[in-house]
Amino acid sequence: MLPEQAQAIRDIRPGILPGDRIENIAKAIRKIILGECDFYLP
Amino acid sequence: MHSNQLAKRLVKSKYLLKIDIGDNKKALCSNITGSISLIDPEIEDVLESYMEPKSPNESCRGDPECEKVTKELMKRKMLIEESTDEIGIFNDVVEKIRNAGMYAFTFTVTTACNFRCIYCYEEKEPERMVWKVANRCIGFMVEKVEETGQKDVSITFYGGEPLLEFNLIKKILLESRKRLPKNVHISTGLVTNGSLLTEDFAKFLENFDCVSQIPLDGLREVHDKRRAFASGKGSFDEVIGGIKNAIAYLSKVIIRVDVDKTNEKHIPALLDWLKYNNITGHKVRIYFGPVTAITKESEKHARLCIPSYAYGKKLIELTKLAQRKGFVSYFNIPAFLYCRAYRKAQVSFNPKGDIVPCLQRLGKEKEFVVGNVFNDPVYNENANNFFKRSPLDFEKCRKCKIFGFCGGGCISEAYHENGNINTISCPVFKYHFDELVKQYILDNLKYGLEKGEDRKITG
Repeated sequence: MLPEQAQAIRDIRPGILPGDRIENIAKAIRKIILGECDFYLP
Repeated sequence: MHSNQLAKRLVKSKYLLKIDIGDNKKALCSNITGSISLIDPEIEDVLESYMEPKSPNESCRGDPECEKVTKELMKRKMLIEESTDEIGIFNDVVEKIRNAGMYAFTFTVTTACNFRCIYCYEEKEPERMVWKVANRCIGFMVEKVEETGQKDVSITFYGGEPLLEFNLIKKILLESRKRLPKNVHISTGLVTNGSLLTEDFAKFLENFDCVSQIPLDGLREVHDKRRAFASGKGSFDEVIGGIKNAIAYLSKVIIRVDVDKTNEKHIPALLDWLKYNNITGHKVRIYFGPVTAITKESEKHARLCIPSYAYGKKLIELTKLAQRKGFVSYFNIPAFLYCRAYRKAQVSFNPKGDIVPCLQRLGKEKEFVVGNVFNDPVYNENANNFFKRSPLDFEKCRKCKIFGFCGGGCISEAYHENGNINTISCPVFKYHFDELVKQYILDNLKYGLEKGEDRKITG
């Protein structure tokens, strides 16, 4: 049996799944594509 | 788990990267969903037990904790049913991202600039946006915001030097507030050289939740050689003045240090000076961007640029240095699409009212113009090159272990290297990916970014 503490998968950033709600996708886009900044230039 | 779930054969995703980040932890990065997660060895054991297709019944043998972990890994598509079409999932997600609402708009109000930076990538034929064009762009924006019903809209001003057209910026914002639905919150971005960011301008922008990006390349002697006024006079004092006004009135300021071989060794001194002069704190983020020479205008600077294959290490080193000196500093690792240019909902207008997704190419090359607000329909056939582009269109990407993260790289760079927009160029993230992910995780934990606390810590 795994210790309780080890059960967590810590999502540093959740991914996007096809069935996600649009609000969650929008939020993830901000983080993943835009780096929290609309004019982010790599 | 239900008994039918327990009997299904599962397997570890083919596109999952595992990175050892030390301290007995591993990072899992999914090319299919773009997720980055941190796991302990016990979770890894469960995951690895599905190297070959196996049912949870076989793998867990009735252990409820193992079943729980299996379920969590399935939820994240790290474990999948044997017959799952993973590339199909990736394609569906990319399609969603392209078309998910939340429009954001960038107005290039002028391509004129009062600076003559040695590595500037823009062409030198200044053009300003006239009100007739701006007004039409606002109309397009209002239409899109009403269509999506979004409650927030971001409007960024870009140039040239956008503050040369402050009266136009003011008019655009006041008109937008008048015409957008009353319940829509406007936030703004300002990509400026900082020299014209007076207290009055900053006070006005304070009403529009403004985040500004201002480049500062070193201490006076270094900065002035790189970022001088058109007259040749150094701009250090004026830029520092602008940064101070941004800190006083705006929501956040990103100090962008454009890094190349000529200023990298001077950065520690710059950070010490900023700290000594109190240009720090929760509103200031330091970002280290690579100088690139990917347009004809900037080609002459190419030999001084740090190449993509070496910049990842430099970025980590500088980010850590800034953090050690007490600054907020972090970078992003994208996924699916390399940047905003591939998303239809990130709309950028040039002074003619053309829609130009890439801010490094404001319309001189016709391939980079995907529409015009005066046309009907607005978008032209070039739009597909941006908004249908997928890394999986390219053989080199299909064989790459991080295709889902780099998204095929920068389209402007690819165009410069190959003379064709439908090609790829491997970006910084292709190299030192593991180290960049490790630093990305540390930064997210340090600043609480994984809980969406970005605005709290830096604004």
